[in-house]
Amino acid sequence: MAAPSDKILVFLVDDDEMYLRTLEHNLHENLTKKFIIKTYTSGEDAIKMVKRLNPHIVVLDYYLDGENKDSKNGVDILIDIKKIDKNINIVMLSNEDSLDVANQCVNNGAYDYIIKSESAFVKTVNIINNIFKNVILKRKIRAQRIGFLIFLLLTLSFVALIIFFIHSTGIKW
Amino acid sequence: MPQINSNVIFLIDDDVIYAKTIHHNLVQHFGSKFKIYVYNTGEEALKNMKHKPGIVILDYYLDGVNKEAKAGLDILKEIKKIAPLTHIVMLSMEDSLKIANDCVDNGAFDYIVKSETAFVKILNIIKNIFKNFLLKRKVRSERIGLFVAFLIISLFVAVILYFYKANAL
Repeated sequence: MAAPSDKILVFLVDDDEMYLRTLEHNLHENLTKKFIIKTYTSGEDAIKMVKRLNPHIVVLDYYLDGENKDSKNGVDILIDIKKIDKNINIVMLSNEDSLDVANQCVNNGAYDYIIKSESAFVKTVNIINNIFKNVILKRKIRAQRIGFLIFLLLTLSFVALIIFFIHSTGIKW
Repeated sequence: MPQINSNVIFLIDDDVIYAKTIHHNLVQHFGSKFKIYVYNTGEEALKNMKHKPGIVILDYYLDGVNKEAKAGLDILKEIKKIAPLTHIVMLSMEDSLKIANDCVDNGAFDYIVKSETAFVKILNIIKNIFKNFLLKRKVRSERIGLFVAFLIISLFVAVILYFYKANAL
């Protein structure tokens, strides 16, 4: 993983640059320093960086072809990212509150789907914090396993060392 | 003793039909995986906290039928006081910044607007919460498992060294 181990890497992807900057600013203000935020105005750019940096969370706009009509839309990017790593949590943003959009997002593995209404920033911060808790839990599981492995190795080498020591010195104990 | 039962869901909404529809939706989707209790007032739900709900779906406006009833936000605070580990999802007719802030600042897990996508979102959020429960359970059970393994290995090493000593003499 490219991100430093105690940090959470968040990608923001939206072709509406104004919205992107506002969201970025808002997240900077409301999230702790543990979060590193990177922004992209095209899904294609984001995908390239997903492969390199392996982010924990991607906040992805549903409509990505506002500026460039040839761009892939958000759901395609969602599917592509999930193919690269299905553990990446993806939160979709959309202007429109429609059942079709919601279903498309959720059925393709999005963690959640947020309407770009006045409460969108609060919700995004909240959802990122919720995902953060899961990332921490997963790290805990990994740390426990590594800790146990180290204990096992130490014990084995300890036993081997003692036996070796007894043999080589012939001390009776 | 676990503070919550991750398979128990409370639905609290004074709109009886809406509550029934969510209930129906959940049963259809999850089958009997969850035990679901439906209450039309927050007070009633608070009286039944002995069921230790892991998830509570709580309407923001609970005084539509009974004007004396406590508002959803008050019930949110009280449930959080009794059972801080319970995940509470707020529902509201209105998509407003103030409501979203009120809910999140008081410890709600999420806040859903009662639009046409509400049911999809409720199902999705319940799945997310349940995944979180499973992760927590995994952390706990692995910790216990590793601790037991730690004890067994320590004991094993002690026994080996003891016999080795006995033989060496």
